[in-house]
Amino acid sequence: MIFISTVLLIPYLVYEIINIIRDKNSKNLAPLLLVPACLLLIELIIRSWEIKFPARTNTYEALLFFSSSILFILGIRGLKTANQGVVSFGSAMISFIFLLLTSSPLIPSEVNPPIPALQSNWLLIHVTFSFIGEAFFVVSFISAIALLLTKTKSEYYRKLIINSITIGYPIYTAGAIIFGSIWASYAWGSFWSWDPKETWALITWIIYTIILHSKGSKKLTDIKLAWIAIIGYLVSFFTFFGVNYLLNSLHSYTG
Amino acid sequence: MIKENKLFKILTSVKLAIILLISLGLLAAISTLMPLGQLENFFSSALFITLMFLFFINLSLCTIKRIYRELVGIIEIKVGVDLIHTGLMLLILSSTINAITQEEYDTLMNNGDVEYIENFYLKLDEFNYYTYSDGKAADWVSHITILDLNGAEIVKEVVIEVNKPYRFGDYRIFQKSFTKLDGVKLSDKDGKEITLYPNYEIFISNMIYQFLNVDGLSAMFKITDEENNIQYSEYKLGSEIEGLKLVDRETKLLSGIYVKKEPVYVVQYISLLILLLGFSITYIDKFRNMEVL
Repeated sequence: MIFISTVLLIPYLVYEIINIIRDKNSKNLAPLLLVPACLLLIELIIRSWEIKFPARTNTYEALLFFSSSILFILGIRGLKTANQGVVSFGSAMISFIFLLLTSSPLIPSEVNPPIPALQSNWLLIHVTFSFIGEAFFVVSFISAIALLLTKTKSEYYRKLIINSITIGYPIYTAGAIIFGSIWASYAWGSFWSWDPKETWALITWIIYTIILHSKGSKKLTDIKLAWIAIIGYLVSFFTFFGVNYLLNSLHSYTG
Repeated sequence: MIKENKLFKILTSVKLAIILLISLGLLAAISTLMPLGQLENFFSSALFITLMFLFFINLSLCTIKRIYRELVGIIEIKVGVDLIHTGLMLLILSSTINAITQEEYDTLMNNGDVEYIENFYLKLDEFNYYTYSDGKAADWVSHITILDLNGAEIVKEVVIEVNKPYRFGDYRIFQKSFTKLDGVKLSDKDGKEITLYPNYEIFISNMIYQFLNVDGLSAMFKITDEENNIQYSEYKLGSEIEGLKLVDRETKLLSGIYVKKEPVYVVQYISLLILLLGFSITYIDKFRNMEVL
């Protein structure tokens, strides 16, 4: 099902890139992204059935869920608005790249039940909300790049950056900070222990907090906003991948 | 209306909040390059504590100022925002109090062991280690009894497992880990057996034999004679050490129990709840009024 989902994205990406090159607004096909999104969810449900636990406790499953979340957001957005183009293409491309990564030997895909520390409902809620929040950050990231690359439509992209962060931020806060802390309290006896994973999640949160607290300020120009949004997502990406593979963390076992 | 002096204006400015957040973020990023064992020193450092304290002051004064302005009608009342900031204040305060007042006990226990924990004793009745069909760890579970200082049972048949700690007053008792200890069993001519685990010593023929480890079918001993001369010897299982036969290797599982006393633990939970409520109130309204992405 992952293979089908990945393959289904290719014609969509080609279609959107042609539209971008021709600078045309053609038929809105983004709602079709709901198909691969649903297929990925079904794959996760099947895995969950096999391991007798919701499949969201390792990097492979996290990538599937994250990709699915991005595609759901794009698909639902496609149902409500005709404006697609760069943002849809870029976000779908990120989802596509993550799906390709799942076939990497660095990311084991064996169906294994989780170790004891990961057998927690709080962990599931923590991961679910975190990745849904981050999926919105992907949209802000792509919108920020689009804003930097385009000379027109900056107001549109600025609004998109702010709106996507406005939606993603509370979801991410709930997932990464609040539910993550509660899980840590049950698993390790401490809400917060400045573990590198926790620390980088907090840094991600701080960046988006700064954006939301300064969005009304004239000093936050479109360019500055775009760069901070880009940095915010890159930090979020590092929190997900970089910490697992580059730093010594309690979360390192989730690979 | 309160007239704000310059210092108050600075302390309640969003600009200061942003500067402090950036500083804390940068410091936190640097901390992740340090070895895990040095983190406590880093986050106890004067610089970090000062920045956190300033942030707390800024957050608190901003929140109080905001609520005052809402009450006198200068600005629109936003309950959600107030709850978020109040929740954050409470979280920082309760976490600080916990960090100062908490007590921790970390121990490895074998079945039958009794451990003293300040106001009570903890007895490990049974430790079980469960695996999946492929041998990987599935769960580790300890059955414990809590005794008072006179040895009388207060609570018995308490089951603790990973992610499911037991709450006993201000204490929480966690199943933190387990460890396997590999030892060797020795038998004398009469069939009496003794098991040695790492660093256990026996006295044979005026020499101290300290068991170090067992690797495969070989056991390593450190031998100290009467003149404190030391040598290391390896013995195969089945061989003899001065009339004692090395019968077999034996593994015991030790339960890693972690006990933590947190006087304001509940306040931390309440503050997280307040934060969650604040976010829900703030953002559900925003989502409804927002144009689609």
